[in-house]
Amino acid sequence: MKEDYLWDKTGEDAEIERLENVLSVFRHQGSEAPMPSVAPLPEPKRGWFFPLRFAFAAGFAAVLVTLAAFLIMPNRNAVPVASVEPSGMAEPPVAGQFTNEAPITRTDVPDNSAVAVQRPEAARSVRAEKIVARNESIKAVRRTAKRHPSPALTAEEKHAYQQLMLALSITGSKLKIVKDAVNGTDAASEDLKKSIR
Amino acid sequence: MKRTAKYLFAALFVLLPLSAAMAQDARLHFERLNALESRARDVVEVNVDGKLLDLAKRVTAKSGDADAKKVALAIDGLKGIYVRVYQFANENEYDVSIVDEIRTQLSAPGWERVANVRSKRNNQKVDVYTMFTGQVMSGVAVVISEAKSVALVNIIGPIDIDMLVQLGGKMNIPNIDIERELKNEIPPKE
Repeated sequence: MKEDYLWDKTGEDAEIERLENVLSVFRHQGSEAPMPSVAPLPEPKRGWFFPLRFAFAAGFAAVLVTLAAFLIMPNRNAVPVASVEPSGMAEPPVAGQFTNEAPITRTDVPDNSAVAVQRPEAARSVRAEKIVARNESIKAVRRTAKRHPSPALTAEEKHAYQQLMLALSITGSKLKIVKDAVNGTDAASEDLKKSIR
Repeated sequence: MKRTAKYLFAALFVLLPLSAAMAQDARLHFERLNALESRARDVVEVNVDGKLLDLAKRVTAKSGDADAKKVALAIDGLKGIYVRVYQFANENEYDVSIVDEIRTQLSAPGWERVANVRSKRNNQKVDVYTMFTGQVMSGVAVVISEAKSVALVNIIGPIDIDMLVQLGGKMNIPNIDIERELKNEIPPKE
């Protein structure tokens, strides 16, 4: 095979020519290849149903997590399932003495209590309400303590307060002496008047 | 005419503030009472004014005690309170003229005597004076002298005297012997 024909088509090469004739069908005609038709991508549907589905799924997941928490928490604290009516024996929580393990509405439940054991879902909601009520009471106690804190007095304040109270007490007692003296004088003068009559 | 006006203006310029100062000065001078200290068996001296009084008022106002709240209301305008109590071991052991000098101060303009009690029993002399600036009480003075004791109280500023009388003896402060003894000495009413 002569390499010149392949290089610059000079000379003759029967075999190459035969191949060229056979493959002439596929010869490049000189124009750009046609672009294939591409179907446009469909636009994503932005309807209301998709976010709603996602929100519903998220909400359902949140409910599941909450229920799981309610199921787990009472088991740790060993709170009875049966609802308990508060009685007058329960002491209100005192700031600084409250612990997470002592529900405020819990009182002694008699053995033969007529209170029915509630269904788990209702019991969970009751427990949830109690927890919320307990937290609210803690907040109320803390708010009260903030509003009316027992004053932590400095030595200077104590001294000033004691001095003032001492002065006022002595003044009060002296004024009482005056009052008694005046009343005594008035009583004596009244007796004198009566005796003269 | 111009000279007369000038003199009149000068007189007013001098007299008016002087009278105002005299009228408003309810503070008594207790310096001479220091002479009683050396002879007294028990001495109580309490001076509450200025920053000490402000601090005490704040503490009283913050207190949750019901009596303290009443006190806080009663002393809201108080500017100062000065107490002197001298208890002697024997009768007539002190110089009476020292106490009379205090009473002389109370004869100055502005003071009005509201109570005057004299009793031969225990040689008791009780005087209560008040000072008013307009309609507002600006001072109270109480002088009680007996054979074995002298007590003086000087209050500057308005104060609810009725409340003080009601609360007398109820305040939660340490008892002092001098108060117990005075209570024992006062004879019961017949």
